[in-house]
Amino acid sequence: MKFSSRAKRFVTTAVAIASMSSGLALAGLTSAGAATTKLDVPLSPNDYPNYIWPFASGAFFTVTNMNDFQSLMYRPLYWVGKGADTTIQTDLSTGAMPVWASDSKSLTITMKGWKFSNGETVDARSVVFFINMYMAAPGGYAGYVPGMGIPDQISSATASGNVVTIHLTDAVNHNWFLYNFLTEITPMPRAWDRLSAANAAGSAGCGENLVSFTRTAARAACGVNAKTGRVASGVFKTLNDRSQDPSTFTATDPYWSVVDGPWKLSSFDTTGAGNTPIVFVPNPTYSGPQKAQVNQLIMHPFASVDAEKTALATGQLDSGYVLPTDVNTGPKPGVAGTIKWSAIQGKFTVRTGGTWSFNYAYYNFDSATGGSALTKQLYIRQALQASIDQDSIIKSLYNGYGVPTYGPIPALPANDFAGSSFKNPYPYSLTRAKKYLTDNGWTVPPTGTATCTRTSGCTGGIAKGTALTLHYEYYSGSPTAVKQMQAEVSLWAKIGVNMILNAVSDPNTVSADCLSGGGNWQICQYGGWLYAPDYYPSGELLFYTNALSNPGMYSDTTMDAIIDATTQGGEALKTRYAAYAAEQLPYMYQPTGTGTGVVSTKVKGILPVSPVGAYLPEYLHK
Amino acid sequence: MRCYIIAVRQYLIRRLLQSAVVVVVVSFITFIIPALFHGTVARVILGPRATKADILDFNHAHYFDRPIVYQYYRYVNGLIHGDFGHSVLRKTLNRPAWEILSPALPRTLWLAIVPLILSLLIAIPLGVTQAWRRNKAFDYISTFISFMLYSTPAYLMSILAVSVLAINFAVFPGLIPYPTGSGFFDPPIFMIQNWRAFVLPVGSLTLLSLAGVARFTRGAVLDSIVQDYVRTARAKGGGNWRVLSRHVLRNALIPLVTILGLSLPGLFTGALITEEVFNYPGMGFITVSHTVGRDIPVVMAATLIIALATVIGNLIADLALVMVDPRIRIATN
Repeated sequence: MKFSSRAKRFVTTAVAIASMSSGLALAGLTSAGAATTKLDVPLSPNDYPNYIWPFASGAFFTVTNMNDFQSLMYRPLYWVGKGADTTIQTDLSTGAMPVWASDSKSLTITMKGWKFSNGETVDARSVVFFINMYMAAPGGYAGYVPGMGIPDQISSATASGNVVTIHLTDAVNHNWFLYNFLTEITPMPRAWDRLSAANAAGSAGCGENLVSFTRTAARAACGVNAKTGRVASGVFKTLNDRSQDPSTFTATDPYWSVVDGPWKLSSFDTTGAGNTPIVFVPNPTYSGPQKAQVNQLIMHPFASVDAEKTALATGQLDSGYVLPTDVNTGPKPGVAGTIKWSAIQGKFTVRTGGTWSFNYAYYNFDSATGGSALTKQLYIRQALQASIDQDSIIKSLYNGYGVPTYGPIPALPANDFAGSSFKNPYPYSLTRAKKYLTDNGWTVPPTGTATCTRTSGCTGGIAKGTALTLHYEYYSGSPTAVKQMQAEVSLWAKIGVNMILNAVSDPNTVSADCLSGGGNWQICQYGGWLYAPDYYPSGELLFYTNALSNPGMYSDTTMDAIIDATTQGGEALKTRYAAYAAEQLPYMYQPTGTGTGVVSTKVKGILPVSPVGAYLPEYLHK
Repeated sequence: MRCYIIAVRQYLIRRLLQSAVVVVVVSFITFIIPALFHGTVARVILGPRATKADILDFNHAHYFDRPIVYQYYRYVNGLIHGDFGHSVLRKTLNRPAWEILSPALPRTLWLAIVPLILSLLIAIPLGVTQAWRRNKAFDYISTFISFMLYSTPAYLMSILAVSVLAINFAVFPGLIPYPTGSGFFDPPIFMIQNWRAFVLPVGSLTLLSLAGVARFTRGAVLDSIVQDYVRTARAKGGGNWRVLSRHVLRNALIPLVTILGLSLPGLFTGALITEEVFNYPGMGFITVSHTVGRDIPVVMAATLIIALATVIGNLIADLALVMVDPRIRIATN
């Protein structure tokens, strides 16, 4: 998912304070502890959940909604992440691991038979309800990728008791399908499958097996107009409308009070202003391995980091976020230092960790929207990349809380997607960067702009006399972001690149420009990519020709072939993808912040920060 | 008398028309700025995976593809019907701006009224005493303190109060608890129930406004006590208190009416920084948080409300002056 689209988690700066979303991506191991107390935690500054149904479109697909709110009450088919682990946690999942047919074209999932709080069983129909809804309104769910995974590669999905059987149209890579699509599914109770609370549970019929698994049949069952795809009535509209109405976010709502997670909602700002604390209480009927150990989990909203820090300093919070400047540099990336801020010294410990993400800027390859012939040349992209001194930026601007980014595979936590032999193909070297240019017909003067001087023109059909001038639009929402760009521009100037910056302080404008190809940019930066809910870093959303998050229109037949091979079954090919994406530079890779948070020394049962934002407060106690 | 009533009525009509023009201009400005950002609004609301067709559909459905004049007509029509636009901030996405702002209004009003009353209660006697004992030690010391307070930014005052009295010495809470209720009289009840939490914000605001009012009162009293009518009152044997209360203050405090009228918008915005520091969800808190989030529709709605308050404040001040100051009454006649 694109960071800035789903949460206020800009990783363009080291002050990516929300990498510990809500200051709380802290899960516990210890099962001891009496339920005698409460946990006070902050929401990200200026943020508040505004969508409760775990079937959200892009506008509502935020970390705050999904990770910090919905997942406490509604548990997915497969839960990903616990502490630093980024894999599926079978004990926290509502279904057993899928069993695949030998042709990799069908699978069965046996549900564990957990219970919803109203006594319903979390069974196969609960899963089919979600899949049918997805088939009926794919645009209603942010994870939808046309032509791929769920629902477009499903030919049938049927429920029988506790067993879901899914047939696919093609053979797929099991892990790709599991981590990118099956993890999206959240079983939904029959109490939601009705047009109003006055109707019987399941009466709308969206959760029933479809006679034929087609979009038309699904739309008929789930209330989406069969011709236009627009939602006029039916259960989709009921749930979608209700989910945007905070006055229904109550402990007694006939829809949302039916939960299968460890927590139930007790109090919420039902006015929609997002100003009062959210209070969760334990769900006594939770079927999972660890029931909540505190009486109340209270999430406090704050207007600013300052207000949140006051709450931390005055003992009103058990965990929270601080700025990298409030803590001392850690011994190495991903390892926390000590607290520098005297007001909380001795009372809190520092938390940090990598996120399952990477930071980048888009290159514009599309001449129709201002793309330049220059950025199409790999050697120019190589020169630009080799001129970025990521280590110095992290040290001086991120206070050490960041990791260098050399490709689309997250550097932290350690993983095998890039392979052990993976190396940064373009280490910082201005000499090498200049050579990329001079080898291809450019002259780099000691000062000023490099020019194509080769009589026959420079490599890539660039005419003699062309100056190396590029336009770079970026989000300038923090001093760190501005300083980082200034540092990079000064380095690019040393190899003759005249980088014209367009600093945009409005994140909405810059994201619209980057994603819509507006602004006449050759390079555009407004955030990073978090691999969630598509946890498998396979690149089909980023680098595939005409992919949804490929606004620069990068297109490369080899890249497409590698991604196809990876998604269709070539698990071993994932390292080839990682290396190729790093070498080809479809994006400009930028340092990725790791964020800093603190947790009270009174809180027990804490695991390392979850890179995927897995939030498991039921493990915490005092 | 009849002439006077007609004159006042004409004056009132003239001021109302002037105010209406100001409101129309402000409404146009508050319309035109978000209108420039319509393209990005679609992207924000629909998310990064929305296609260009989706964005065109959205813009069409919201009339963003229609002429600007038509859009302005719809905007004004919406305002007349209480529609101030819809939020584009994630946490309040699509919620009507008025729904977001209306619970905050009484909170801010009460948070501002209490310090205003307190500052008047302290500043007027202080200013009078300073003037009465001008160029004495008390005057010098209190003037020095007034200047200090007057030149202290609200943000610094609030942060200092929190750092010293909440964090270092833990005398008072550093944040205001979340208010309950959104009715007009809920905030004062809440303030009484949680009085300790309001000591720092109310104290900060009181100190900030106290200095200005005290300086103003001192100057006005100094101007009055050299007037002939004061000298005459003294010559007639009036005692200090009688001269002060019957002759000096009655005249010196007339301009305070103007100050009070002009402070009406300040009632909504004066606590802007203080609310943000103390995490109190009033107009200031919401304006700051939605400004940080570039929620232009809500910020513009808040701007419009504040502009209306300014216009109304001016109007009330002018009318009140006509009522209390015989000289203006005569001039009007």
